[in-house]
Amino acid sequence: MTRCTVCDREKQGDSVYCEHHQAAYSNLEESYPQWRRALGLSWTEYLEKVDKASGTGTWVKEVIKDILSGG
Amino acid sequence: MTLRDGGVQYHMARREGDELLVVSALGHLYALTQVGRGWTYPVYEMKWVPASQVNRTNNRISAYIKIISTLSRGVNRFVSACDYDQEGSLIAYNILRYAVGEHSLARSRRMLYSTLTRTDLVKAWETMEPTLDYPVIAAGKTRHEADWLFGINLSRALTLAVREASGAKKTLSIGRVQGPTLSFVKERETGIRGFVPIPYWKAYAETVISGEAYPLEYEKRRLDREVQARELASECRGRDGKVVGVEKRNERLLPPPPFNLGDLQREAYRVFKLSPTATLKAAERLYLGTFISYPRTSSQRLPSTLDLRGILRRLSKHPAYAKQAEELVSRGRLKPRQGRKEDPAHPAIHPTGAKPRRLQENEAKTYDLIVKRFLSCLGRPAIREKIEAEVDVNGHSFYLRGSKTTKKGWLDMYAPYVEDRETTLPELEVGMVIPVTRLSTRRSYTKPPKRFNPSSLLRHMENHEIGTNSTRTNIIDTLYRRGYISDRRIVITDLGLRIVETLEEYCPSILSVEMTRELEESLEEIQVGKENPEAVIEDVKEALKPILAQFKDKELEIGAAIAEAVTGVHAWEGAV
Repeated sequence: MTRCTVCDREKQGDSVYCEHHQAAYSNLEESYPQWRRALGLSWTEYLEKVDKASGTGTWVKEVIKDILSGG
Repeated sequence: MTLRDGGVQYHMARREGDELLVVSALGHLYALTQVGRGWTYPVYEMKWVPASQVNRTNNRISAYIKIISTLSRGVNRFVSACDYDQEGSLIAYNILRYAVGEHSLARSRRMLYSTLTRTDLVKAWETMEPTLDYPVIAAGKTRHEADWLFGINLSRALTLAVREASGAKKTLSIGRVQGPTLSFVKERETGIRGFVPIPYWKAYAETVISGEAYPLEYEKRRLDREVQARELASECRGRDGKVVGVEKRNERLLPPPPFNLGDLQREAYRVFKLSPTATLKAAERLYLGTFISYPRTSSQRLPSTLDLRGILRRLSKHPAYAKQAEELVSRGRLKPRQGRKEDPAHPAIHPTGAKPRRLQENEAKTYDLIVKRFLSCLGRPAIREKIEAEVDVNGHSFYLRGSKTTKKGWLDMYAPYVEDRETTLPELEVGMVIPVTRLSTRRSYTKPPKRFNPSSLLRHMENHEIGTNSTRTNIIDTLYRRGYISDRRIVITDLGLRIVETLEEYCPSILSVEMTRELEESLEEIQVGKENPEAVIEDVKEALKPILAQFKDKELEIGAAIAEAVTGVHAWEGAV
């Protein structure tokens, strides 16, 4: 499969995502330690909170939806 | 005497025994077109032709060229009196060269002025330059030619790539300033779309002194952990605070410098939400009406030769400005606050003092802003007394902050365009005990980057030194017109995004700020006679060759990547 699992763009190398959604996923991973320190959340709880937080980017929301749906 | 021929108005006058014929242009009467035929690329040979041959919808241009050509017969001296900038100088040069004839150039002189008032025009006439301003003309001509080379070749390359790959017949365009500008918007958009907010907590506290409530600011603007917020609340809620320090200091607020065009556009957007295009249009009408100086200036400085007192005397006859103008006139010495930016051709934007009549709404707003900025840059500094009291609450520091303007200075002259918020505090002494009547902590999130609006994008272009005062606003308008960006809070469209991404992959130099900035520097060098225009054009052609070869080589891939977005130009779904 050469397409991103979220949109129809070409996926990046070994990733299942395109450039934009991969960048959003990386941002999610990088931000998790700060959220864990702030609120002591598990990865899944973290994703649910970020999804609802104000200011979360739409690519990030799309990636969260993909992860939580078992993508 | 005013006459009319073929729908074109011109004027006849006499001065010191000479008969003068004054005829206006209509912007550029001549434009560039390719030598030879065929809608293909690369195209490196170009020529100047009547603009009506390039833009066939503008048939008034032919009438202007015809009347200028007819009137020039038997004329023994020509004077270029177009706006004093690259565009104005080039407009006059092309008219003289092509509508009148090459022979006219050696008999042509140049009037230089920054306002259209009678006094300045008479002075410009009496002190006109003995020849045309050739270095400025050369810079303007080179700018047009370089932009034409980039624009025609890249736009055709994009359009033909999409046509070849998909059969779609949409005309696409990109240019040397458009490319980096669209790239700025794309960068911002990806920052917003990929943003993950981080939570933090903020403390909100209040005290009441003599029946009045005052906010208490916690020493840390942000708490990173929820547990810290809880601890703070439990340790301070219901406790009294003790004043442990009171500091007073005076802050001197200098007047702002006078406007250059970018500053005026930003300020008009801030206070009136006027777009940069609308502000420029209003300023140009004010200039043509003799009410303000030439607006397309980079200068934030008023030269010592400017008759400030004369302008103020004239302004003192306008009821709206009389009080401030009279006060300034009565001072012994007038010293304007000067900014750092300079422009060799024009001073900062300032009123002439001529009283405007029947201004449209945007013109009236822009005029008032310009006059008040001019008055305030001559005003005295304002003095603001700042008070800060440190309050200890169970080992945590909170602050009571207040400010009071003790000398209004220029702030009075810039009203209502300056915010002068005052927070008056009661008398506070060290050792005083005050109650903490309210304390709460609230979770907030870090914010994504702000979307550009037309005004902040203009500033971003200025900061990166791409484009000029004359071109930046047009570039932003073109991006909207082409469907690459939309909305006042700018969103890049799918088409705009695809174009940037494709160019990033196959020919990133088109998006490079450096390439266009280097060309701007070369144009500045041409304007001061330090660079050869032909060499700059050759460099542009050399820079284009590998880019266009790459386009030809990857035509199908480039076309296919963009074609997906061409079928539907729409802003991204869910854009905020």
